[in-house]
Amino acid sequence: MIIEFSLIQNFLLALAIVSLVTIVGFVIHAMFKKHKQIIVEEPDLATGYKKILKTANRHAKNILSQTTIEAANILAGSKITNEKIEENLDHVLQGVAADDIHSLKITTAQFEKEYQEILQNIQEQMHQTTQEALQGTQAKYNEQMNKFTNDLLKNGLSTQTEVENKKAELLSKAESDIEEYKKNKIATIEEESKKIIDKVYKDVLRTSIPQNVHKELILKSLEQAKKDGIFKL
Amino acid sequence: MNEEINLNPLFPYLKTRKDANELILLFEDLSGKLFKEDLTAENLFKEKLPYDLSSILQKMSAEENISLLDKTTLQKFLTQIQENITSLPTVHIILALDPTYEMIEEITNWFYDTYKKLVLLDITIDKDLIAGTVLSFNGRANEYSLRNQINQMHTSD
Repeated sequence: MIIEFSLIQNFLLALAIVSLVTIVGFVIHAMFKKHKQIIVEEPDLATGYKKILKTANRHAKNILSQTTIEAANILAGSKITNEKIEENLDHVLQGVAADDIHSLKITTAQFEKEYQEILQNIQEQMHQTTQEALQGTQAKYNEQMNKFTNDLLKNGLSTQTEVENKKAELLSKAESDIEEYKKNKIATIEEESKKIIDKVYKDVLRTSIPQNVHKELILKSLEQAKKDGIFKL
Repeated sequence: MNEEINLNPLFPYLKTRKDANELILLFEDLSGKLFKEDLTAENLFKEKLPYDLSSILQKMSAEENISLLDKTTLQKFLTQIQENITSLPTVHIILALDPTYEMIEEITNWFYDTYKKLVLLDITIDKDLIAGTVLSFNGRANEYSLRNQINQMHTSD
């Protein structure tokens, strides 16, 4: 608001100066015109007018000079006013900011306090729930242990017999497994032995058969194949 | 010219399927050059073929009444020989050892003496047979090997 007022003031001042300069211009122009007329129509009067005009001109210059000084003073005053306004505004803003910061600090402190209270509540509730759960589990465990102990005491004698029976059963199974394993192992060894003997036998034969025997066996095989009807030529 | 040309004169050159394929290629080459070379057919045979084979081929063409000067008929004759060689019966034989030339000759002679026909051998080696053969012809096959006999002895035990 203050800034707007200052602008209007400056504008009016400038307008006044311009108007004043225009009026002075018109007066000088009219006088000059009249002076020319007098010089032409009445030469004596012209001299008197010249004096008057000089005087008027001097007055006008004084007025213009005075006006310029005044205008400069007004502008300088306006500048000072503006600077003062800016300074005031800065003070006001700083005050507002200080107030805001203060309010924020208060709000934060309050929020922190409320948050701490909520956390405390949650912690207490959790602790309570855990305690309840632990107590429940312990009770259940105690109950089961008691049941198990009672059962064990009741079935003590029959358990002993069952263990003996199980031992006998396992022993019997182990014996039969060992027997089966022995049989399989012997069979594998026999098979491997046969293969080795067979291979040695064949290798020896292969290298020891002479060419003429090979030829003879080939021709015999041809004869046999003929008898078997392999060649239908 | 007969459709079935007597290939018996070529017997020394036709023992195995491999021999037959080589002979077919040789006649194919000869047939292709018959018109290209500025030679008589007789001279072409002498230049491109081994001595014995050149003589055999000339005798075979004479038996078929084909003049060596008639290159067109001679070319047909060569083509016919190739076709007849291709259709020769082939016996597949598996042996226990790499055969000598003499062995192959004995086998092919056996076929020739027994069936009076040229038979080509397609030979494979399998030393596991120990001795003897595995023979197959036109989808019929049997094993006549020592391995087989030994296995049968084991089975009867």
